[in-house]
Amino acid sequence: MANIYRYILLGIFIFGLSIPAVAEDVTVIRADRVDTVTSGLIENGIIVIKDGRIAAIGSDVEIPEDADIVDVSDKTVFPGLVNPSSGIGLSSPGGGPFSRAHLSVVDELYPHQDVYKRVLRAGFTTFGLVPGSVGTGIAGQGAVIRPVGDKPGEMIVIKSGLLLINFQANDRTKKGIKSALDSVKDKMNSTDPKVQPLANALQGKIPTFITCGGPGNILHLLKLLEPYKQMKVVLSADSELYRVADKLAGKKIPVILPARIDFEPFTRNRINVPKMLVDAGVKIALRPKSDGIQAHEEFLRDVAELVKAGLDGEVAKKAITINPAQMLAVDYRIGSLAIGKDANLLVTSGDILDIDTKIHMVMIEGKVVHKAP
Amino acid sequence: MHKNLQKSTTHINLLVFMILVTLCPASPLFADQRVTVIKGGELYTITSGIIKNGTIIIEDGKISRIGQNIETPKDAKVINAGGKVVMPGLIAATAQVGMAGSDNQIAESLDPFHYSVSFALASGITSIYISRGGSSTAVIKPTYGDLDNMLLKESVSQNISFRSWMDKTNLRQNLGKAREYLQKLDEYTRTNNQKKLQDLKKPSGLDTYIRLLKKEISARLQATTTAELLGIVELIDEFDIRVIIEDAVEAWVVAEEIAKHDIRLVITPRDKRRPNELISAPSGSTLENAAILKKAGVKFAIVPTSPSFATWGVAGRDLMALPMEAAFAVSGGLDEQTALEAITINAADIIGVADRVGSLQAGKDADILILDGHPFHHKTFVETTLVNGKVLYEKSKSPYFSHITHKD
Amino acid sequence: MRNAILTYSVVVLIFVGSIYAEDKVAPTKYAIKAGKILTMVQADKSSSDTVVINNGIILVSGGKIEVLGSQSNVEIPKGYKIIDASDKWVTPGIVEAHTHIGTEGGFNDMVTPINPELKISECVNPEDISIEKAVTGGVTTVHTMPGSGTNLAGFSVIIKLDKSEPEKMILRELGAMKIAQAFNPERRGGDLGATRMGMSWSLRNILKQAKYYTEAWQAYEQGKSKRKPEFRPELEKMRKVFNGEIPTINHTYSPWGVMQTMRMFYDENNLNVIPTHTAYGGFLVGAEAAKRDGVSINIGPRVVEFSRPNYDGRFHAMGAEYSKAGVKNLSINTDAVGWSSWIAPQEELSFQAAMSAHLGLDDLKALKAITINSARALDIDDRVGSLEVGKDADIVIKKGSLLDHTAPVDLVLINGKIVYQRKGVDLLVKDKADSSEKG
Repeated sequence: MANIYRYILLGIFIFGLSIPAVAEDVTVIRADRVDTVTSGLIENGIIVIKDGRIAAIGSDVEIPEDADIVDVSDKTVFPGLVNPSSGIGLSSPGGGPFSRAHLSVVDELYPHQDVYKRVLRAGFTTFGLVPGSVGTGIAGQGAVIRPVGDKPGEMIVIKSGLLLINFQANDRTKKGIKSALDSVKDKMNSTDPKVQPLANALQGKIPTFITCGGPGNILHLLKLLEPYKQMKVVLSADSELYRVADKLAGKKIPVILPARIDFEPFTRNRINVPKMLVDAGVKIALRPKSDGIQAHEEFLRDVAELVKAGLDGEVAKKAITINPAQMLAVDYRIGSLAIGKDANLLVTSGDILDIDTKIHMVMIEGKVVHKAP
Repeated sequence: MHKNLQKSTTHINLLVFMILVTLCPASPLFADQRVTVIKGGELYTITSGIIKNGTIIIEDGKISRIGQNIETPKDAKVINAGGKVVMPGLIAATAQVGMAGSDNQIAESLDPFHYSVSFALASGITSIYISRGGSSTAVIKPTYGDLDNMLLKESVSQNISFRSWMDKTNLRQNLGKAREYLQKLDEYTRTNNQKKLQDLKKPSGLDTYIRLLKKEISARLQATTTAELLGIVELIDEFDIRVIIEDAVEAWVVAEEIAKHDIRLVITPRDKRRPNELISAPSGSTLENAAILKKAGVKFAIVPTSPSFATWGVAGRDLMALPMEAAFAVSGGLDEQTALEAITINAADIIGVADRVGSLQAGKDADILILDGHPFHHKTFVETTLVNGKVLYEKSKSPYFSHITHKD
Repeated sequence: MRNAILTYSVVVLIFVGSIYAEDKVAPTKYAIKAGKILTMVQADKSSSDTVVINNGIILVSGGKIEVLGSQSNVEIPKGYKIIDASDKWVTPGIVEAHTHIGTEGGFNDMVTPINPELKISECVNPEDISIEKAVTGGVTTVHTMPGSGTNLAGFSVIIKLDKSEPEKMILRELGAMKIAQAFNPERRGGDLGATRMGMSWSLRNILKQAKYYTEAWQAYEQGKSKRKPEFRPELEKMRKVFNGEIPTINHTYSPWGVMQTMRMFYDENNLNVIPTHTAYGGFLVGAEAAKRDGVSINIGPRVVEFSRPNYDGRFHAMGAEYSKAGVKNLSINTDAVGWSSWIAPQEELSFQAAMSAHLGLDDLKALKAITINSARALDIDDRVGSLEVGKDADIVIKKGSLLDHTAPVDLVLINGKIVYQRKGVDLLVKDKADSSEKG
């Protein structure tokens, strides 16, 4: 009889302990509209966030007791922006050997920089941070990061997020890339830091980002990549690449583009390159037109300009959230508002592509990292 | 009932299939593989005279038939060239087109989207010898947007520096070493000396010179004055190699020697060089260079003053004015036929692609121009340019010159 | 005594007579039998066509064109050497309005931006080998100028390319006042006149001074004013400009530059001005140039603009564009420097015209642009630029048009003298006992 009482006491005690834990980790956002990007717009949307992740989302969702309610019922919620390819916050690149697969940006991370605060305010919650470099070659590993943290390690979402190759059509570069990739063919499971990133890239375990010049260069690149069919290639190239859009669509290679209106060469005829690629069937992500802080702050306006010039609005929204997340292979947790994904989101005064819209609040994994005064 | 339905379905399927089959040849998908016919106009074949009111049949990118009164095949795409001049695409024996970056392996950095490729098409230039240092040479076609068909031939000649005394010494030494190796190889093979053959090692870095001695490739050298030209003549006396000389401004002075040694030249008629007042022999440049060379039996190609396309305002001195440069050779006394050959078949021969291009002959690539006048007339424009049988340029559809029409 | 006087008289008479006899040895007279004569003379007031004479005769005497007509109504007098050009074309000698050949000693005195005292006629060098080379291209008169390193470089000279008599080479000692208003003078830096503001001020300042100076002397010389003006040697040459005797020639570019040139010199100061170069879109203000009678556009050495200024991806021929805008007195230059020149050497002025024609300028307009129009711009069309009775016998003979570069120039006369005949060509008909002939 005494034992039962003991167990009941123990039970109450444990139960008592667990209640505060539950109460701390639940946040609920009530918004006018929730733009999930992948599953449409939810009017009078409610998002329940537990342990930094979206636990529930909808218009008719049960709100847990003791949840922290964020009432923004006059505002819109949108996923945090993803810049898939940036060197923001990194120091200037130096030279080095042609193949530097073992080098990683995580060794350069420093979270307490003004630029990170400012890009946060501009709505960016995830970055594909890539190594800088001079010239062509295998520049190293990039990482998927969040622009917040007390320690460098806290910024890391995925440590070895991608392999960066800088390409230009010439013999030396082609031979260098080929020999680097071929040299690891028999070492696919190696843990050697110089080999592993290449092996992972070759097998498609991590994406390979390739920077490239104009359309002529791209044709050379496509030829070079033919034998490496398992690589998950993401292309970052200059504007004239629209001339080979059909070939890129055919090979299903996604492309990262700067958000800007371009001119047809030798003329002042304005062209909407993102739209041209989308029309040809290419999946695109948009990044700021330069890697500087001002371009990040003007990014949404630049994207709105592209939409005004004909780019489909829904496509544009995907191009700044879920598409870059997919290119970084983090779409299982980032890039849209869905159950199970990180609560990375922006609370805005209106539609994200509306010129007048202001960002009211930025949340990363459930934590408010920026709130407008 | 069920069986009847099946039968009807099969019949319908068969009918649909037959319709599709009969429609297919007319479908746009097949248009490219269809025959193209250029009809009418004066055909400047270059190697077989002028065919008046001629016809060219093009199949699979090649000229399959050429002549008068040839029947046009049904379903052929017809290009009417009545009243126009039709000639082979022009050949630039040295120029800078389609190259991007700074690589020694030209084929690895060709850029089929470079604007120079568009300009080449607009100028009627369809084969270009390009080079960047040493052994990186190639002949390309301006196949805009198409990398796969851009390279026509690789490494037909080796650019060798021959200006300084050090260059000359190096060349002589290398050729000497290469010759020694070849002689030993020959001797041991003849005497079947297996041991010596095994021990004989090919010296490194001499591949080019061995190929030169075997006459597999030509050496391209630059020489301006008679002294430099005669220096090369001496070199050939010593090592029997095939040589192409660029520049050759004073070649007219030593035309006989050049002819005797079967040296081919790439010249610019309007090159200017002041006569050397300090020597008693003739010197300097002259517009008559080409005419004198022709008389002596020298084969040459003509290239313009500038090897690339100028967009900064000069007219008539850059690659776009290739025919004009040949016209100046005519003013210096060269006959018109040879002047035309110097920018077509002879140029093709010198750069090693005469089996494919350079004249309108059955079997050759369909690299063809349709012009609105004689190529040496100052008002003539290229109206249409075909490369490998495909129309890649039309003046009326391109912004470059479509606004310029001559009412003459 | 009487014998002495007689002897002396005879000696004196013989002496004087011999001097006379020398003077009386006349220069050769020529009769040119021409297949086609392009006179460059306007056919009638309304049209832009020019007079062309087929199977014509030109009689040359005393350095001038004496007679010009068709063979059917001109009889060749005795004593005229016949030049047989029956299967050739005859044109006036080519006139170059903007070049730098024929002088020595530098043409950019770049100490101060304004140099109205300088004249390049001091430096004419008859031995310059560019001169004989230019003649092989049919060029007979050139306007040689100081460079564009300063805003007012000085005064140019007009010379004939016949160096057989150097003393007679200069056609006009002060050709034009040379001005540079864009780009080149801006490169100097560190001096007033290095920026466009400074340039404009420097020029306006000197123009104003010269204008008042000229008017003061005019008033005094015409008796309207009793006060004798101060003599300022540095402004003396500019009086000729403000008197209307010679034009200014202005190196200028771009629409704003050409407008500034026209406003400052023609509109404000009533000076005849030759805007020269005018590339980078100058032709966009062609209509404005066409409105102003005293403005003569001179283009070159650039004659084409690619995708500029409209960024339309087209090749725009400056000549054709100006012509379309209504410019009547268009001329073309080579801006030749030295023997081989950075763009077109002097003898290729006809080729500059041919290229302008290729890109859309009417053939006849292109020919006028290197003959009568250049002459008119320089105000020397009373002497050269067209084939007319009384004008200088500067004549070019070749097979076909000047624009056809498959045929070289065969023969050139300057001031009625054969200065060039192509090697291997001899158009002179051998003397017959009886040289009187009806054509």
